[in-house]
Amino acid sequence: MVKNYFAFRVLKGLLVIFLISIVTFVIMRLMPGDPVYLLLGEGNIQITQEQIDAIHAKWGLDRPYHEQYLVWARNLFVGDFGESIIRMGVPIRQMIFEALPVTALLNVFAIAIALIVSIPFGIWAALKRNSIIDYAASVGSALGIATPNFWMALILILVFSVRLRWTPVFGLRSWQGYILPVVVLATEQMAVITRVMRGAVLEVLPQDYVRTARGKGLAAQRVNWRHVLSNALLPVITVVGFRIAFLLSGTIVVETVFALPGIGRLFTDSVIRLDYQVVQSLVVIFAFLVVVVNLLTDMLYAVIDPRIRIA
Amino acid sequence: MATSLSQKLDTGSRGGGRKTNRSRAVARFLDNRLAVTGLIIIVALVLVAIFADVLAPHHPNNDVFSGRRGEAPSIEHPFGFDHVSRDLLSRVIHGTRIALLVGITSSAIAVVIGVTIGAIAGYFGGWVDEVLSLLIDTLMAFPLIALLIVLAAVLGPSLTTTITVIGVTVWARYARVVRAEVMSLRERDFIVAARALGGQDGQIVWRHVIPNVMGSVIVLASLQIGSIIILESALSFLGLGVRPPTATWGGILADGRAFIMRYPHISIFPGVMIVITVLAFNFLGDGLRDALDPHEQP
Repeated sequence: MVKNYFAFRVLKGLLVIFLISIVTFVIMRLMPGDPVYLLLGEGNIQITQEQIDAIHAKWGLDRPYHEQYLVWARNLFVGDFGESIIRMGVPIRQMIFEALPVTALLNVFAIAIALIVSIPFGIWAALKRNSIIDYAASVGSALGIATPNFWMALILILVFSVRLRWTPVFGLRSWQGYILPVVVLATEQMAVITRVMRGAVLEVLPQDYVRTARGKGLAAQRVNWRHVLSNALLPVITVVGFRIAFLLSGTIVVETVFALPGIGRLFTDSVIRLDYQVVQSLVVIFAFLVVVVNLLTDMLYAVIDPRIRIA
Repeated sequence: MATSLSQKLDTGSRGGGRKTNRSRAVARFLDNRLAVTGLIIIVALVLVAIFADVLAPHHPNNDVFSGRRGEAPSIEHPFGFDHVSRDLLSRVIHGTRIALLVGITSSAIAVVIGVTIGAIAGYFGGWVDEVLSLLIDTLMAFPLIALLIVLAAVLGPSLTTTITVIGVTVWARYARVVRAEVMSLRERDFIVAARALGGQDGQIVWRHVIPNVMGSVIVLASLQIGSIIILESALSFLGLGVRPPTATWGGILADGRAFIMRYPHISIFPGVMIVITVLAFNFLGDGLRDALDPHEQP
């Protein structure tokens, strides 16, 4: 039963990725402008129609759209993302691998800090309901959710780079360049996770099994750890999974503000340069990540919660 | 004949307690101080947006104070000047217009698409539901901001593009919620009765199903307007939203980033406005949810 369920989920995930690749391909072909002109610099170089045709032929741009799609999809399937049209022949795989470490580092640190801070904080706020801690958690979450990450980035730059001169304004010339972007990304996650964690604990506390455990005379500490926490963590897993799946979208804007050479920056730059090949590959990779992480979250959920395994 | 009977059955099934339920919900809402504050702020912002021309002391684009480039805030110009000597207060006031216009119009587009698709999927079920659910799942697996950036670049950034692309990409949430609610409503007595009396599907969905899901839709919409305002400002910040010289909060922040070393004050006020606006909509949404569905409260 469980196996069937997951086989079904995997199939559906593949179907979603397939649809996304088609939609992306179609949108990219709607883009105005011929990349060949961008490549050569419009009007600067005199080229003949034959030369344009030759370039089109080299990149397969002269073939019908469905053939172009099939070639691209087949290559994608074996992990070959092709070459960038604009950055003359640089393999996209290389561009992605160059940018990946920056984005990975940013996100791993951000999510780790967010989890370390917000899980205990959310639990603490719920256990001490209506205390100062609880209000601080609620106000902090509300503000964190309402603050656009790029504005928070600007304010941090103003305070720590322009006024105090502790951190560099833009770029990654030293490791200090990571501090502010990580703080911005972590704050975004913290706001959501703290709120969910607090809500989950508040929901578990009045349950019968918690009251029974307390009634049996178990120490409050033990009840909190064994009965409250293990049950309250379930909804948090979903949220964390969801957040990890969409982390990349958060980095797009933040990397642009701090001028960091990561995946997000590669994406916006490629959109502006009309670099089809790079944009469509990145979108499919993003979507693939979302589908895989969602699937993993569901599986983890089933492993942890026996009620789902049986159903 | 059929409709009038089914309408009677409809009201009957809700036990005539509707009015008291509604007034109880209103009372619950009014007791919630944060929600009422949110509502008051939103009303104020709407007034600012409507009367921006009267309220702004100067024209947001045309009044250029030559020689006062990037001047810091003063008493006559409380927000200071931007990098081309325009009065920032006036620009921030006019930015309210764009933020609310995009937030509300995009939400309206998303509600229409989402409710229609969700209601069709939930009501008809079967293969119709399978296909539409796949569509919803596909849209939800797209990283939203990446999709918006690509669409804005393809269509050419403008106010209309911004409103449209946000509207046609954020409806999946509504569809999912409405679909689930309609599926459970479908088997309820008053729908079954309406169907038995020969009501047409379209009519039943429009008259009996949709009014019953509007509560959740309104809650979701007020919570979504905040995130749409953030999306719009992010797009304008990246130069892919509403084009300059139109004053937008995101656009002013982009100027602020470009001149962060020389004119730091530009970056402050538009952001404060975004936070206040988003907070107000989120408080309103939370308040509405608690008022309409008291069981949800922890």
